[in-house]
Amino acid sequence: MSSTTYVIRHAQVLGGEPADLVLRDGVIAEVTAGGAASADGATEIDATGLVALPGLVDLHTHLREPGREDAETVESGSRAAAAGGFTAVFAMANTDPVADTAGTVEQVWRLGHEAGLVDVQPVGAVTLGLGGQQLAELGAMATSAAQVRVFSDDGKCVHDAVIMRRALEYVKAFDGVVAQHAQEPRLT
Amino acid sequence: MKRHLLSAADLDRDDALLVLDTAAELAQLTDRAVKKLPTLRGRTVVNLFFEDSTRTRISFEAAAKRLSADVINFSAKGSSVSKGESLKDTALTLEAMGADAVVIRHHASGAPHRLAHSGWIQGSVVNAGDGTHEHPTQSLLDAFTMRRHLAGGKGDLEGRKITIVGDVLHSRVARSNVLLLATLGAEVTLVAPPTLLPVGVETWPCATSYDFDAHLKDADAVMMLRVQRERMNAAFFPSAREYSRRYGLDARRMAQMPDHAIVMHPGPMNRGMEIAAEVADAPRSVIVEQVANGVSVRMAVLYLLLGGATLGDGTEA
Repeated sequence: MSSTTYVIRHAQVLGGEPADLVLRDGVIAEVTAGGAASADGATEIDATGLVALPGLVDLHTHLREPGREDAETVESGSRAAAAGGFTAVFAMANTDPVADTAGTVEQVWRLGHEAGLVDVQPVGAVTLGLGGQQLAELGAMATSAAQVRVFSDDGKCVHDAVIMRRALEYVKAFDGVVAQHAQEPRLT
Repeated sequence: MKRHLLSAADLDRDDALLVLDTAAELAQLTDRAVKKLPTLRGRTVVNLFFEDSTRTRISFEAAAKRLSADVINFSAKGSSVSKGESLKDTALTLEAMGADAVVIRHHASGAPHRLAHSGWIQGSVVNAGDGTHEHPTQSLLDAFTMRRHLAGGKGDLEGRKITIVGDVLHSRVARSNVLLLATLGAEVTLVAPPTLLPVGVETWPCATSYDFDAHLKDADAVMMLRVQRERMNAAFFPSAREYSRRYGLDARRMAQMPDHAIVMHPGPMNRGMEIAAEVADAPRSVIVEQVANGVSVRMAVLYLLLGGATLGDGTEA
């Protein structure tokens, strides 16, 4: 790589006064007044009129892969995310097959890694096949290469109170969280 | 010693050591051709079993018989209990027959306590396992086995590190072991998925962990608890495969234990579930020895509770 230094000119950091950001080897090395940073050998980017924010995280996306590659892929979804300022997306589990095993979450994670645009974090299903009957192998997904920490049956909802209690307790072993549509499917 | 043995907490350090020392003395009997002492001749021990059990019942029966007691075995199946008789009426019947000690196993936690404190019977009550509550003689035989391997067969277990792994929530073995081992100075760590640790476990005299691998290297003994496959249907864990991967003792995990450390299991084992067959059959596994020690320990308990004669060859009370 010829240059690993960037200077972003006149960006409004968190909406403040225009400033220059010097990025060296992937980290913010310096913040100066607008136009004050030295551009010695750096790639310059003009951000006049733009706001600089930390990378955004989307906790709820559907990247559809595997199974519905005609609608979206991990690659196309991460490209859209990156274009919108997102640096991490969580991919919901309602793929085909459902992301309820270490194998499937690792597949999604690797596709995201290969696309190389944003961090793709697979969300693991709470129950097998999103069926609400039996816990999926949450521990296996947590210790897989995907290191899953967020689990959800998303729109299917975990509506059995016992299953939900067990899931909430079980994920304590690896600091996981369970994300839930607060919805009782038999009433809606 | 108290008149009954209902909980491992009924034993203070001196009582516990007295039982273990007495058991050690009685264990020498098993090496003899005639394995019998006359100390409890004429006394009656009733085995009152409301729940299926093989090794505990046989163990108590062998213990009582080696002390020359008369043994009556009562199992709920095929008895008047199956006709709806209450615990009270069963107890009054046994009392009328002159039971000196009642060894009770019951599916309801607290049944031995009820039997001991309701004024129904005069004799001693020994808890042989009640519900998910306690199993004090199992903890005594476990401590006896640990003492043999880890403390030269005498004294307490001060500073020994014991890792107990599995379904603590439903385990009376775990509860009694935690209490007795704390009394004997050992440091216990319970390892289980969060779903199989009871509410309130933080008040027990032990540590807890969800990470088995972190508690192998410094363990002096690793005790595996039986895990019923049916627990999976109640969603306590996702699958047998995931359970044994996270909480099973296999050869890889056993290799991380110190050379002197022993493997224990109260039985019956689920080979391939909580314990791999090659671990169960390994030289450091003392599972079969635990059963043998069970008889000696139960002899000691019956002997001490029934106030038998001084231990010695052929001398009677």
